[in-house]
Amino acid sequence: MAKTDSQIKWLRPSQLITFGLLLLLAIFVWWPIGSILKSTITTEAGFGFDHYRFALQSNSLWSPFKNSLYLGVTVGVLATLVGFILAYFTSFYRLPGAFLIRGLTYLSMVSPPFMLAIALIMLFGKQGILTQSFLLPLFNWAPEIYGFYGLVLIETLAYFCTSYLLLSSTFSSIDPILLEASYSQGASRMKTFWKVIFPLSLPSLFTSFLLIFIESLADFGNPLILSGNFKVLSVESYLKITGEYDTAGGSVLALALLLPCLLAYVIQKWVVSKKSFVTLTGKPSPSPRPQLKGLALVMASGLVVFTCLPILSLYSTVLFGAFVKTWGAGHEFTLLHIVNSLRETREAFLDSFLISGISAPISLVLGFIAALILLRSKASGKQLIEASSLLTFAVPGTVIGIGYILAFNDHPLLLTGTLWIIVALLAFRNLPLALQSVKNNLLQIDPSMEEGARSLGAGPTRVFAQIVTPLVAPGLISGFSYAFVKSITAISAIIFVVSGSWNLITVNILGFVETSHLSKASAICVVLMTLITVLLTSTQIFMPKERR
Amino acid sequence: MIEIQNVTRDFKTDSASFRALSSINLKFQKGRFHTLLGPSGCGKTTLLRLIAGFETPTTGDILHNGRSILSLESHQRGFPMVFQSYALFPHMTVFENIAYGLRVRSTPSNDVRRHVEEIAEKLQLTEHLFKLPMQLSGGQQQRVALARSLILKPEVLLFDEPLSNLDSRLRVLLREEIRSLQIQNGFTAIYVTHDQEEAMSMSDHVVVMNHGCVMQTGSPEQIYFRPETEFVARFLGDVNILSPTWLSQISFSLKDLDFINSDPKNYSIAVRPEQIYLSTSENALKGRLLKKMFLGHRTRLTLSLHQQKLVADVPAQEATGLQTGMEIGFVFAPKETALVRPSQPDKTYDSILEPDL
Repeated sequence: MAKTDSQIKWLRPSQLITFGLLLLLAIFVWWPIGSILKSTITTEAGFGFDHYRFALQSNSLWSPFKNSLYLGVTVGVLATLVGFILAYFTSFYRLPGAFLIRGLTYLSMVSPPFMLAIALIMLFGKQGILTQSFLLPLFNWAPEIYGFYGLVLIETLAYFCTSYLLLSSTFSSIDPILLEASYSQGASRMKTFWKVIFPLSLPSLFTSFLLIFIESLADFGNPLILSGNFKVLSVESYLKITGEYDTAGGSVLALALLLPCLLAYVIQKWVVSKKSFVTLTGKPSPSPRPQLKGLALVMASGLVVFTCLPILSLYSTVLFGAFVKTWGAGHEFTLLHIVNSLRETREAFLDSFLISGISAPISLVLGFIAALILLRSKASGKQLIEASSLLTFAVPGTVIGIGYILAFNDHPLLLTGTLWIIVALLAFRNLPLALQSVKNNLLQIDPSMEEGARSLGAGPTRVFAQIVTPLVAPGLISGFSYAFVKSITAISAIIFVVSGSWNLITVNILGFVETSHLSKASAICVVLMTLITVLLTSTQIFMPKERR
Repeated sequence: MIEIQNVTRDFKTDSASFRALSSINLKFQKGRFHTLLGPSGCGKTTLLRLIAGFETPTTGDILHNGRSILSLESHQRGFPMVFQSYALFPHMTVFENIAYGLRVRSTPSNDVRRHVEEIAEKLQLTEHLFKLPMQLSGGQQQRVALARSLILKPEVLLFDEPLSNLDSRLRVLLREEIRSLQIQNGFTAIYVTHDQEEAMSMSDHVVVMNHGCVMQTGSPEQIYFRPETEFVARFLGDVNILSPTWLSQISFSLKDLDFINSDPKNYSIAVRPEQIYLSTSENALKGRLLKKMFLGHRTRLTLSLHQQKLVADVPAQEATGLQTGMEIGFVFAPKETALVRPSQPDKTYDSILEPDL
């Protein structure tokens, strides 16, 4: 009647690692957030809600809160709609120009998150090239890009990729045989769309809306550049802390930002995703996608081009801006901006790559361990790891950044001003990305592969080294690349923790924008994106070939 | 010999607890071919995984040659397993897959090469040794999985429905191959399947399971011709289950069965279709022919007598003149029938013999 000695032996190491991981998450994820809460209820008298009362009375809380939600909902709806339409046409029909959209999703991944805003200023700002040479002379009109409308435009263009990717994967998992079944029952294409495709994609539509809502709320770079008098929470909390040195007031705003994000995420994770009909098991049978004809073709391709071209022209604006002598005046080719800006930001460039080079491997290793614990061990507390890592997706960078300066400003963990506060922030911020990437890969591996190896006599260490690791290599590589790129382009959280001795390149770009050195800002953006592309291409070389 | 002693396995989910195996006692004799047979969800795979060490019993013990192996982890037990999904390592060549177990045991590489080539020859894999698994057909992949296990010269080999993913022709071919390898090498095979034909054609010893319990064990002939329960009778093939009420209508007494002593109540009689013979004798039973279906080597007749349908498989030439609607004389021999306990009605395995009237 031996009560399974073997199970306990297996458990011991993984249980220990689970506790260790939870401890790290507690220190580097939950303690900072807790510190924000603490700072809002700490007054000179000790404990109280004075900061909240003050924030409500002075209207410094309510108006940005309303603005942020208004912006989030608007962008959520618009970007979801755009992504839905594009995903629908490219998934179900053969369409020229579909590659354009893939190119855009790539660009949006590797570019600093506020790059489109720079381009918008270069085109339509008061000194913008289109304003000066076209709109003012002909219509005597200068568009007001600073404020709500500019933000809606830029965020929609930046975030429709989220919706596009999500809905494309939903559409591609709808077995075409369902559509054929519907046609064979006599339903028209229109009817099939409303009765089959639309209901099946409804959960993904909600998910997409909620995720974009969170992205918009959490956005920091675009509002910082474009919001003008339209105040939003992320920027206001930053200004409160760095401008007015009002830490508690900024913390109140950060909490007001955190709550709707968490709420939206919880709804998405535990309500909407439960309603999903589309199963991702099995490969849908391949069926030739029909070619649209006549007017439909023109309209559909027109739609794709109409959406993609403005975004592409924004990206090209940055590219041109980096290489012409004086934007709007002298358009001869020059490398001067590249050379000058590189000279000025050399340190920040090196710091960015150094810090990402340290933090991404940490994210990867911790993510790999967490994925193994989640999917292959019986350790208790693993649900807590999963929940923690999922919820960090919903925490806006601004909140994390404020949390870090509050939490690591004092002994025993005095990290402020060091390299390590930036490394820790990025490592734990990107851990969930690495975790998801490895986890998705691990889910595809038949557990009998590992059981087979064990039944042939291989111990746990050997199975891990010879079977699991090579098989999840693609997930490890993509998880690393993703974490690395996200570290390099991060802005909202790290802007709080950079210091004189450790500065990052994205912060430098923002600095150039604020001082209206747009050519230099463009030049760095271009260099940064080129470097990231080179890096991503070279990781593809290590990617093992498809084996199944 | 492997002994399962009083093994129970419960699976707990958040809300419910599910008993996959309840108080199993079994002995697997050394060097013989054992099959665990049953419908899906009967616990046969769980039992196999307990022996392999991938699961642990909730209570009970598992012995190998008299010693408990519960404290050994799967890789310390030395029972290689052949899986339904083959479970070949996709990043290794066929050679490295087969050599894996020897490499784990730090065998010198000269010996590894010799052994791999030897076994590859035996299983017709020589020309594929330096391919990746994905370049092979399903049948070849399963041969590699077999070779990978056999190369360790194990005392016990475990099979988890290894042929289910193959087409029927290959299935028959490979099961003959596995059986002859087992006889040549003398390992103890424990083989899980839901296919009764596979079980009967390969095994020395069949364990029929349902709902986490052992229903019956014995040689293939024993469980086919002498099922103890309606479930076993039906699971092993088509069968007519004749109730005591009906039997009394044809004046058939259970006392006529020479293999039982007392007259058990509520027991039914199981008669296989091929055990019903056409007869022109005076004493033969007379049934109406409802349906006739030509199967090639046999013809299947559906007869009706006293509201009971009976299915008979008779030699095709005997059935040539028969037309539906005719009265037909038939007999069955009491000593060929089996006495079966009624079991819980199990919808999935109701045979085709009880269609709606």
